[in-house]
Amino acid sequence: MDDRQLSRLATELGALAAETPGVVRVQARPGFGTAMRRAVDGLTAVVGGGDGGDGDSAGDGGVGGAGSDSPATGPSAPIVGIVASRAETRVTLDIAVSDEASGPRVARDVAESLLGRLALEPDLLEPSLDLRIVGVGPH
Amino acid sequence: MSDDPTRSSGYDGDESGPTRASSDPAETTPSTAGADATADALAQGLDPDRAVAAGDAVTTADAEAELDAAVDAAPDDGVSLERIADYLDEGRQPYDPLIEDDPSALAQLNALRRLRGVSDQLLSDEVAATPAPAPSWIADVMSRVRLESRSGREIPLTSTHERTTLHITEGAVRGLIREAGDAVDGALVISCAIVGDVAQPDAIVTVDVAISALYGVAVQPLADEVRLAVVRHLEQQTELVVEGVDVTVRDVHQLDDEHDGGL
Repeated sequence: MDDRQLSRLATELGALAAETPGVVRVQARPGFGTAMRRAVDGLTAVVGGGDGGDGDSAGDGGVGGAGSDSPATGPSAPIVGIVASRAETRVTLDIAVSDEASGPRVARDVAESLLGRLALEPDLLEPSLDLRIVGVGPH
Repeated sequence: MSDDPTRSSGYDGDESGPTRASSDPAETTPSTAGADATADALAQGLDPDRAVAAGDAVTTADAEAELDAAVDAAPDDGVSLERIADYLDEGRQPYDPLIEDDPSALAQLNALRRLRGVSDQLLSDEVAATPAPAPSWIADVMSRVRLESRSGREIPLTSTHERTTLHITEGAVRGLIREAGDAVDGALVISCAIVGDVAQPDAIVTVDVAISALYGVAVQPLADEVRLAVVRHLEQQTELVVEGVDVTVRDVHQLDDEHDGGL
């Protein structure tokens, strides 16, 4: 799977996460790209969601990669990061959840949904998820 | 835990559990602190009348002292509070992704919105005619919000997949605590802290919440209501094993639009 395919997958995963009940926002992990490049041995790709998305810009800036379809004055498109190495595929994302939902349940629902989608990609090795709830509230 | 008469604590999974709040009317009826006294207290992060009592819980005092020191020492990074205040003034238009997409900035915006809501309410109630606290009151609270809204430690959540990790950030939980307390009529959260090794699953923690009470509101019921609100929110949004929620009433607030610290 090349970078462009991974980037499209990241966009799809971001959309899947965003439409999970109880999720109010999905965003990339700040510093994600740089941290992954340092930490993961045998790294083959780091991407953020969106056409032409670049992992470093998506992860470090939090607004790069995805969002090309969004108006400049509107909310950013949901962004997830994907790190693909020779040994594993790690999806990283931050979410905010509704204060009317159960945070832990929403997190598990998002994980189920994304892992289910990743399971359909035989090229991705050992897919796993790193998800954080970074906010709770109506917006 | 403290014997501070203005401190309400205790949580063992039973919301009707015991409270340390005093039933003595002389102690639970808030009194008005003068502007000078309030300023001195806030400068130290403590109300002078409560400082001694609040200091008898070593762990809590340490946490509060660390927070106070951190507020003073924290670099002014991220989106400025002035920019957040201006954005709120403009009705959050045009959309600013640097604020709306940043958990820390968004938490500050929400806290500022709640503080302003209380200020407006007080004006309409004509409470502002009474002595006001130090001009820096809201600014002081906002500086704590700014610090507390940082990500902090990662608090684990149960995952059904072995290699998948789920967390909620400490900043998100502190924001949750603050929102729960601010939602109680007559209460404003000054600071909050989670004491314990939250990074370890099933670790037992305590939560310390310092609030300001609206002038004229009975302190004990207010503290109890804040405690229950915090417990409810924590149960819903986290898997923390909360041994107790200690609510300390630090001061009594009376605000007007000239005492908003410029925010």
